Amino acid sequence: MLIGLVVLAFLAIPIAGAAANSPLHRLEAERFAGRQRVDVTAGNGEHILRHLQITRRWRWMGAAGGLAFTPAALAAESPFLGVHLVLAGWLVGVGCGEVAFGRFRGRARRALGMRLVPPALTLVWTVCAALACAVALSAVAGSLSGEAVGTGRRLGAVATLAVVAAVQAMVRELRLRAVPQGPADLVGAELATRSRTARSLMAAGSAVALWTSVYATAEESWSPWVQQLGVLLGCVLPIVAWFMSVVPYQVGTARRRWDAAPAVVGVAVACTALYAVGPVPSRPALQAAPRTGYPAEPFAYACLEFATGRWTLVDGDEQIPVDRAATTVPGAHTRAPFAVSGDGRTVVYLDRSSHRLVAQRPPAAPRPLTGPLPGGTTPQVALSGDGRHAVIGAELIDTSTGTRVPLPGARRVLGLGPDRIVATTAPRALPGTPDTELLTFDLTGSIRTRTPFDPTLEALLTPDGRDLAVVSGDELLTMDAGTGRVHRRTGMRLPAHSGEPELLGWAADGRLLVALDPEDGAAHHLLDPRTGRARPVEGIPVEGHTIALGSSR
Amino acid sequence: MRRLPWRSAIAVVLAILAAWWVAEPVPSPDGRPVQSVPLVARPAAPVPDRPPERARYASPIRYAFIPACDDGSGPCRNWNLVSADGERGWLPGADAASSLTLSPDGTRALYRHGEDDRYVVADLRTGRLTPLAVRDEDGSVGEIFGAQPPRFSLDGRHLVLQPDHLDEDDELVLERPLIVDLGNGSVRRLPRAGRVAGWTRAGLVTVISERADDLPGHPSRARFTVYSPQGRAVRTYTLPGNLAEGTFPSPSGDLLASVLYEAADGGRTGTGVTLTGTASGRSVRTVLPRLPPGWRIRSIVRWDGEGELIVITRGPSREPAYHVLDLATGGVRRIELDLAGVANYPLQPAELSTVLAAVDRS
Repeated sequence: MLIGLVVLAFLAIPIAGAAANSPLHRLEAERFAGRQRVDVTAGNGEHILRHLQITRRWRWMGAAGGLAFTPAALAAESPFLGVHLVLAGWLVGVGCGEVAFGRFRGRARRALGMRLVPPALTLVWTVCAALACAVALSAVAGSLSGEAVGTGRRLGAVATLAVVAAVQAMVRELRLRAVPQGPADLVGAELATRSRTARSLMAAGSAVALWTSVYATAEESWSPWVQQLGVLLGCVLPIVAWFMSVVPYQVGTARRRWDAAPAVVGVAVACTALYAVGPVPSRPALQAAPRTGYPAEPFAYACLEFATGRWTLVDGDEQIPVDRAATTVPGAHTRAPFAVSGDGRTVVYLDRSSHRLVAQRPPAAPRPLTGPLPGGTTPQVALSGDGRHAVIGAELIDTSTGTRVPLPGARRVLGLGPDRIVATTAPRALPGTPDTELLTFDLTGSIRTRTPFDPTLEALLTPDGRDLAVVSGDELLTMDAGTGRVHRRTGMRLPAHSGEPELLGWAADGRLLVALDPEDGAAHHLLDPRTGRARPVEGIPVEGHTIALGSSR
Repeated sequence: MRRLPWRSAIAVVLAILAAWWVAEPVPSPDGRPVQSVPLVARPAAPVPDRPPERARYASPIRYAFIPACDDGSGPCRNWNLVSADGERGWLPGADAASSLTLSPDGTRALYRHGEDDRYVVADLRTGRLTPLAVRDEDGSVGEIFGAQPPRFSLDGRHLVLQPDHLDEDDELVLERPLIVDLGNGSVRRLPRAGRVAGWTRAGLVTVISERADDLPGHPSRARFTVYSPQGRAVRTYTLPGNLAEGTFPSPSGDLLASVLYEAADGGRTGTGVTLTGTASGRSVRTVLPRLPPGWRIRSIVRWDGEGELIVITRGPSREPAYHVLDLATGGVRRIELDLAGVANYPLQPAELSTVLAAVDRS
């Protein structure tokens, strides 16, 4: 198909060029004179007509070249792409026409000190160029920071930067080139033709730069409102620019000249974009607790390494093996329970020798929470954020005193809050399974609320115990744990992955640590439940490991 | 002394850097992961008893299967049939890479004919082929990835076909189902897409999942629609979103059957079958099958009358089998099939390599 389009372009461009060789109509010269507020005289008429003739030919040829590639847009079912191609071709024609006109021959001199373009158009172009550069540079930054940036995005980024650079360079040349010496009407015509070209470059460049930058974006990385804002800007700004390029305007004296404005704004926005995709600390500060009274730093997570068959507490670079912890349940060949409290100070595990579930606040000795478990049983274990309470099976246990409170009907614990436990009456199930019930218990084991609940949902209680974070498709929901009502839906902006993200725990800043099976890149991300924005977390082992956080499931 | 063309040099360097950056290999998954995986990963193994090519059978077909061989011969490349009398043969034109559907009475087979991608109905008593006005040039992504196989209606007079494709994110898209009248060959496309749940006596049941903000404890609801064979919506009902998948309507349309799966340790365990009333939306009964020790239900094949289900089971060694489950008592009866030569691989499990027709009630 590409070869066919190239052949079509080779045919269309000469035809358009030949058609543009027809004599100029008087109205075109009058329109030029009106828009540029210049008088066409016997002294400058030839200069103006030559400029119009040459630039018309090249602009038509450029637009025809773009038009020849619109079948590709039809094939892609993207009318937007068709308009984009035609306008991009026309922009190339504007540039080529100016080169063909011969204005860029010879050395540049100093700036003319003339304002070739209306200030409003300069402002619009500056905004468009800055936005487009920011998007393109964010793709570059993402690539450099290890994000999988596809060839299409890279091409989009390079093309965007090239468009901005080319337009800016040509406009700068128009301002710098010396004006030929001659009568006043000829000089006026020269400035008017330069103004026409500069306005065309900025107007078309605004649209082409913005629209090209679309191909440098990662669709999943923008929230819906940002996408809507982008569409709005992509429509409104080019229209405003186009309007400003055709309103009557006479070249005047510039009060000051600041060519670097688009570049400065672009760099500023790009810095913001760079910051947004920048790396995050490798170790999430999970529920950082007051550190007074404890000799050790809290542990970030526990890790079961399959190769060694040993649980290890991980604290940054420090790794402390928990040799007493069993890795498999005797007689069941399933992973033994292991849980780390939200503050990273208390762990609950199955003691290898006694087959009891024990709680331990290192470096203190472990404290038994249960008697020896019969072979083959694997109760679910969940710990509160401060490690004071644990739920084992359907019992709430005070890890300090050993006090036990039954939780009638609890089969799947979704989390422990400061004053409540949230659980369901059935284990997690696959689609096709009828409703379970969502229960909230107080710390005495009394059921406070009861509501239907979809048993297929991946859910985790928030640290304050009020809401559930729930995964539903590509959305993260905030659901009232007492009523089951959905408060908020947020699109999760995670990299491409298969399956459903697993909710692991909460960071101290309120972000959610999720594990996923990515097509590429990090498997663990910190997700902001309010915006859906996610940042990769490096350093947590994936292959050949199982990690444990607040609960063991 | 001539000045260095430093601007041009910078431009050239930037262009080279840009070209290098664009052309740099991007680490990405191997294309479209679903399509890159061979659907039938069969090792080269000889078929013990090679059946002959056969388009006509004296008695109704009991089941069809994809054999566990890949030597390119007719029996290996096509669906194999076994009749009630034990007659065996491979069906010419019924490519094993595509699906095959048997009518409930075992006298007809539907498959995509390899020559022109057109669906044909083969009369297995006479061998006569009836082409349908439906083509499927792109094929299906396969049932293992959620595509819906064609299904005969309960009376065998209609068919439902549901085309599918993958979108740009490699997500399965089920298109609007087509109902084919086998009497006059007319084809009706249903007005809305949705997963085909099955046929009832009132018509075809489809289900779509909708967002729900007013249903406590549920982010979605399942909207079921019953379409008459003429494509008219005759009934709708709404259930919680967790019932949008894995549910099978009974012939009367009054009940939905689904397997209770518990997610455990990254796997799943089928514990029984639950029946949900379509009018009330409540679970009316949970049936715990009285299977031999170590055996569990894996999936539902279809209803057999209003009181029984045909289910696929797995034994202690994950060996597949078919059982008839009595919903009143939980009793089970094994359907005797010779599954020894059936393809049974991770992406082509035995239940997708076997199609069951008439069930022996003796």
